[in-house]
Amino acid sequence: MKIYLVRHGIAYEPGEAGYEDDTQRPLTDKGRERMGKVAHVLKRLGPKPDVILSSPYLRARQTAEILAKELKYKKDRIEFSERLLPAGQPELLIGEIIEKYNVEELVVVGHEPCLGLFISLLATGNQDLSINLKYGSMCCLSADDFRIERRAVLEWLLTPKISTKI
Amino acid sequence: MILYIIRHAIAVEATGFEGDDSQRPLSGKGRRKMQAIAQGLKELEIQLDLILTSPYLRSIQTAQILAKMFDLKEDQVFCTDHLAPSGYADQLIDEINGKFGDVQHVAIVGHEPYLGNLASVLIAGDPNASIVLKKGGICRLAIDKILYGRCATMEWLLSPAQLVEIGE
Repeated sequence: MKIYLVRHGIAYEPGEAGYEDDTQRPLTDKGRERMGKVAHVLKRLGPKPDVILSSPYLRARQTAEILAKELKYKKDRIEFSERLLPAGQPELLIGEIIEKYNVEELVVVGHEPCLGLFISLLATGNQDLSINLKYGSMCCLSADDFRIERRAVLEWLLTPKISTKI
Repeated sequence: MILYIIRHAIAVEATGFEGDDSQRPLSGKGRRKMQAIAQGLKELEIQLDLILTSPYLRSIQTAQILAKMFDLKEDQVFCTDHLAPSGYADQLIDEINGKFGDVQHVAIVGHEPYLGNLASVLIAGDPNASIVLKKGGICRLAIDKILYGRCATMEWLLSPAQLVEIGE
């Protein structure tokens, strides 16, 4: 199984006039444009996702929709999990994936620090792994079986800036 | 310090090679691919001040290709036994702190599983986090003060194929 993790693109800042509700902050124009490029690179890197799983927050959902369009995945088939919220529950997320989304290729869209902790749990079994996930960063993990103790291999980690050069 | 951890490129097969394992050179394909990888690294507009390499020929040749791409002088490429497959990473780090503590942009070229374990120690404090570098694969770590333990953040990890694409 492969999991492709994507941090949402650049969104309007918290508290900016008109965007007080953190759950409803949209991507900025720049965020959309960059995410389009990142999605194009992700397509070239090969995933044919069986499932795209996203945080329900608007900025993540919009990111997931941009990825879905590029990866030819139906927008109305995007799944959502509260466990992917910024202060989500990465341990429970792993359980949810094993139970409901045990597929060959999974794309996951979410926030920091939840995504970083999720990667850490999968790769080390604890929360100590330190990686820098920027807006629009992508990371690929592979494993036969994604249990916390079974260690997944970190295949690659791309910043959006590097993605645009591929 | 910015640390680039780089695995040597593809060498000639061990079976059929008559000399010592430490003397296996890069294959023709390995050289060509490493050239393209070095080009990709250059495209990322990074800086390199120093390359430390394992004394094994396949690592030295990999380091030379990088040194040429980044216009490094002879004294900016340093060979150390601590990067050999049988070397100890804690001693490598002592050596870096002793001799090169002030250098900002350092690349180390060597072997697996040594390099993957070292990257794991630096970013997770545990040699068993699953970081595996393919031949010609590179990861970039940002470090305040290097020590043998959790001291770094991984900024990126690129497969050789991705680096070749960037270079093209």
